[in-house]
Amino acid sequence: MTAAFKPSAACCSTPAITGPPYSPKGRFVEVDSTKVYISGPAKATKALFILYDVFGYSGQILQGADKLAEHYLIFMPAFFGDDPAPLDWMPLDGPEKRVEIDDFIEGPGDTQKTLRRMAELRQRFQNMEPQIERWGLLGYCWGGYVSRRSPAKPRA
Amino acid sequence: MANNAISKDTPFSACAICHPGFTDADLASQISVPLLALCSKDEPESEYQDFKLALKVEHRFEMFADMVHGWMSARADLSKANVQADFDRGYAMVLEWFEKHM
Repeated sequence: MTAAFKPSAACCSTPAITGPPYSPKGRFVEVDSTKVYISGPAKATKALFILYDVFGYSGQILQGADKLAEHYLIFMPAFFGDDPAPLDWMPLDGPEKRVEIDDFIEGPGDTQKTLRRMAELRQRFQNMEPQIERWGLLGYCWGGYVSRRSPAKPRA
Repeated sequence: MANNAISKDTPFSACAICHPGFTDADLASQISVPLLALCSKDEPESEYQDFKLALKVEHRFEMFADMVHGWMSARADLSKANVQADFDRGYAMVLEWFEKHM
């Protein structure tokens, strides 16, 4: 299998940290069958769309999102649904896990699929909050990574 | 993923990426909005130099030399004072970027 995603050595060799529990200030709502974390001032005219990392809604990422939500309305969709990468997935210390990450990147983490879904969801959020005038995008690791295949060059 | 989403005709006004990797210079040249990248010691400059040079938009790359990949999210050990400090500094930088560009 040829994966589009080339994780860095560090990405796959560093374990996630389970911190103290964090109580999110925002709310989880369902939008077009996708769970979305929404936080921040109602009626804000500026919003951030957040692409989380493979670990999904970690306490730390929610805490970071809430910091940003002091200034912006933030939307963080659960792209991996209820099935993000398990926290014990890293370090990637065996061939079985290597196959799992390839499957993940070709499946739930597929670039083109995610880009299409991002566009649909952003439009939904815009319809929910029509006063939003400006959008920013924040991505982490998987969410921030640059695909080796751009939209103009479909995957082989 | 974020970088894929900010080529031309994007609805986004600005973009920030935390501990990204896997950079492609071809894609960098298509990016059409200001880009902030927060990098840890696990994303050394040699890995994204070509990408950075190919960018045609305003950008800022900030290195957090004591942090590991993931310090802005699931790998942040916030029980450590230096990690908490750079977590806070990173988010302040993200806010500042969006203040400036959107």
